[in-house]
Amino acid sequence: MDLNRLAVRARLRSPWESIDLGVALARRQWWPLFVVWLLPAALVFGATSVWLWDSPSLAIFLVWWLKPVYDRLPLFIASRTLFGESVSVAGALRQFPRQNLRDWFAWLTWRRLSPTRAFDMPVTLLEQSSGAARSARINVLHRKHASAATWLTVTGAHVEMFLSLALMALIYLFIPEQVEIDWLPFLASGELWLQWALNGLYLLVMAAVAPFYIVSGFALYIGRRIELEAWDIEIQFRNLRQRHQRTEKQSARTVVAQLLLLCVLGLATMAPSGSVRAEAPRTPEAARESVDQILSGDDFHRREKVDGWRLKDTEKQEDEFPEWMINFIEWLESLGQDDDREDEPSSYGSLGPLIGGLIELLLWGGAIALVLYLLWQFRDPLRQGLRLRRRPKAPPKAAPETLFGLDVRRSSLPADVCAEVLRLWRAGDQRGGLGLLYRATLSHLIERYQFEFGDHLTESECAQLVSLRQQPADGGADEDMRPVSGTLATFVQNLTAAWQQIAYAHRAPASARLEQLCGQWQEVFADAH
Amino acid sequence: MSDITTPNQTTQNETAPTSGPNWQAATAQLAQLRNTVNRLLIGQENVVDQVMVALLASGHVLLEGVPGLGKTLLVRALANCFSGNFRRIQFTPDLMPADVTGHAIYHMAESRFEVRRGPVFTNLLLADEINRAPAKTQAALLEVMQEKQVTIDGEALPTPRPFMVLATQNPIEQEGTYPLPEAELDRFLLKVLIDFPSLDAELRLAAAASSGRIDRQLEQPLPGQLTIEQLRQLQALVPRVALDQQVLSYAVRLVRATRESSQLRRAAGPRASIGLLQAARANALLAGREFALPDDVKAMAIPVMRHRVGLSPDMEIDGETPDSVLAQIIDSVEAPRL
Repeated sequence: MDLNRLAVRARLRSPWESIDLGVALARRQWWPLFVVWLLPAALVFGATSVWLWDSPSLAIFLVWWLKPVYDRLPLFIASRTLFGESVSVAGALRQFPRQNLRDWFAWLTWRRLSPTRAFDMPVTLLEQSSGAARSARINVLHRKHASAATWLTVTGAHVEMFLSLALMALIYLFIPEQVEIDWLPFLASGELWLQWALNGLYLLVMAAVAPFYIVSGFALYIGRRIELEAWDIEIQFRNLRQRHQRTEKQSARTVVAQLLLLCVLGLATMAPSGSVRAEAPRTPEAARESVDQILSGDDFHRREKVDGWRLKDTEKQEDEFPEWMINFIEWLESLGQDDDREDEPSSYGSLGPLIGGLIELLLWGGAIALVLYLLWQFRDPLRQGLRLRRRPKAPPKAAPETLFGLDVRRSSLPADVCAEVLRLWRAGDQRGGLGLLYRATLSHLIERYQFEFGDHLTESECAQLVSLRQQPADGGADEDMRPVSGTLATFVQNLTAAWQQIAYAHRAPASARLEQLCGQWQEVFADAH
Repeated sequence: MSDITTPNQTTQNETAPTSGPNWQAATAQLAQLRNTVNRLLIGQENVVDQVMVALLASGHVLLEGVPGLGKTLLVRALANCFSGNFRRIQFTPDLMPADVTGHAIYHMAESRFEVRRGPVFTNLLLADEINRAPAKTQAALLEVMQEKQVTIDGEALPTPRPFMVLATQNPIEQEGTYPLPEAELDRFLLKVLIDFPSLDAELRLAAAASSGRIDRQLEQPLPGQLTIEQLRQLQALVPRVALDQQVLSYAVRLVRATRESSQLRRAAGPRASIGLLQAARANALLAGREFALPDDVKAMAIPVMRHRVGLSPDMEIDGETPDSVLAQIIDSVEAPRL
């Protein structure tokens, strides 16, 4: 197989383009192809007409079934022609037994109904492969062109049918009108000679279509091989090599001439001959440099100026994998590696350990998250079960400075609250005195018991809050807050009642009552002094 | 120093009022009245308190609750506690205004018009399922509730005093009902919600009702029954309950806060402020105090305002109720500061 003698241009073709090329080739040498197909078929037809005269249908079926036998000679001629050899009809016919030796049984039995016969036949005939090698080859070839090859067979069958009908119609058209034939009984009679005539017509049609079918399948096969084996590139390289060899010869001649000239001009100068062969590097390194140089030249670049808007170039570091991510992935892979079988190559490819490591990491993460969630969900029962108490908040919250318009800061209070209260009371400022006592009480409650009295709470509600914290066992009080004593709660209730009386009813309590309240105040906040 | 708005200003040095009404007697009477009603209407102490507040403040009450919670029983018990008249109107879609207020009819024999007084001429009027009557009939109550008089044939006829309307409405049946107009709603001092009683209360209620004790008590005059005069004296005591300027300010600030809230489509008007102060005073009197506290205002704020406000559509979509929104608004208002 000499690619240099390829009769068609070696280039990538689509399957339909290849079939088109096949049709064009078949047209160019249709006659010899037709003859070499028809002669063996006609022989078989003649033989069947002798032996099976009574059953013309069986006879034509036999002829039809043996199509792969007749297909080989047209294919032989087409393949030779493609590579520049001319094969005469007689020469081809002489090849008939030899061409039919290989795989004839397979082609006449299980491969007979193959829809890709024309495409597969060259594998048998030209590559001469069989068995597993043939199967592998067919698989590779079919990967892309099987569909087109099938459609070629379907189309060929239809063309045969149309041509048969057309031929019959043509004959009918040529019958003179004067010849009156009663068609229905004529056709229904099933005369043997009529059937044999139709068989003959069909044989001619098959022989006429066969070259197109066979050569189209062959062209499809060649197209696939050009694609697979890069014939086009190989041919280009061969051309390149030939051109190079030609230039080399020319430069060699030039060198001889220059050397002679140098000798003539005088050896005394001892001038170096120069790198006259620089364009023909000999070493691979030099060749590679030369190739790089040429590739970077203008011939291999297309430069064009395009105007338009685009985003500014930003740092594209995210495109590169950071070092930590590579380490992380390697660590993941190491997680997934089976320690016992480190030496064996993984059967799952390189992704196996990575995926395994990822799943292991996710499972561990899920388990830890589940444990944390359960701990958080059941924190209260756990704390109670372990008899743990939340640590008291070390830094006391910043106490509010004013409440109900009262300054409840400790600093705003006098050193001795009770003395000041009694002094005010005796001086006639009863409201001021009781107000001071109430303010001091609130201030101590806020600072020492961390009460949070909202602005919307009334005095009664504040007193109620104090009472609620009195008994932690009732569940009404917050366990984390310091509980108040029953005395303090009662005192707050009494003081609030007295304060409401003076504030809203403008009715002052008796002096003895105030003194009693002062005494209770000193008692409940005794450690404040 | 705050002002105090009471007719007889007390001096700050006195420990008890030296003159004026007998507060202790009034407190005792009210406590007895309350106990009597609570014995009949078991397990609805809050409802009884609020209805009594309205009775003391001479206001009207809109009762809302599912059927079978004793709304009619409450009104009958209340009427039974003092020697007043009790009338009931079942509001129906074909009820006419004249069926409520009364009408003038031509007397053939005497050749003159005679006024037939409607069922509103009573002390306690139970307007049962008020939202079943069309707006025309509901409007017949507007004058009598506000002015406590009925104009028939150009003549203004006053209702007996005390006069109180207790209207009921069913919150779950909306088919074939007419929502009360805002002007009508505004005339009710309180809207009281009756909920299911607790287990303990229902046990006592079931035992008492099945033994027929409640019916027997309703038929005979109760011990310690008040006369109409005594009730009017109690009502006259309410405006004399001392009200500090701070408490007054707190009540008004509460009502005004509803006008600044974006959660409400319709805010409470000045009538709500007036009603809130009246109710707070009555609540103080019922608690045995001759002065009102901010707590009285706070306790009465929701019953006074819940029917006077309208929720914004997004609050309704969020499933909020007037009570929950009002509670949020109340929590945003500072209590009185001295």
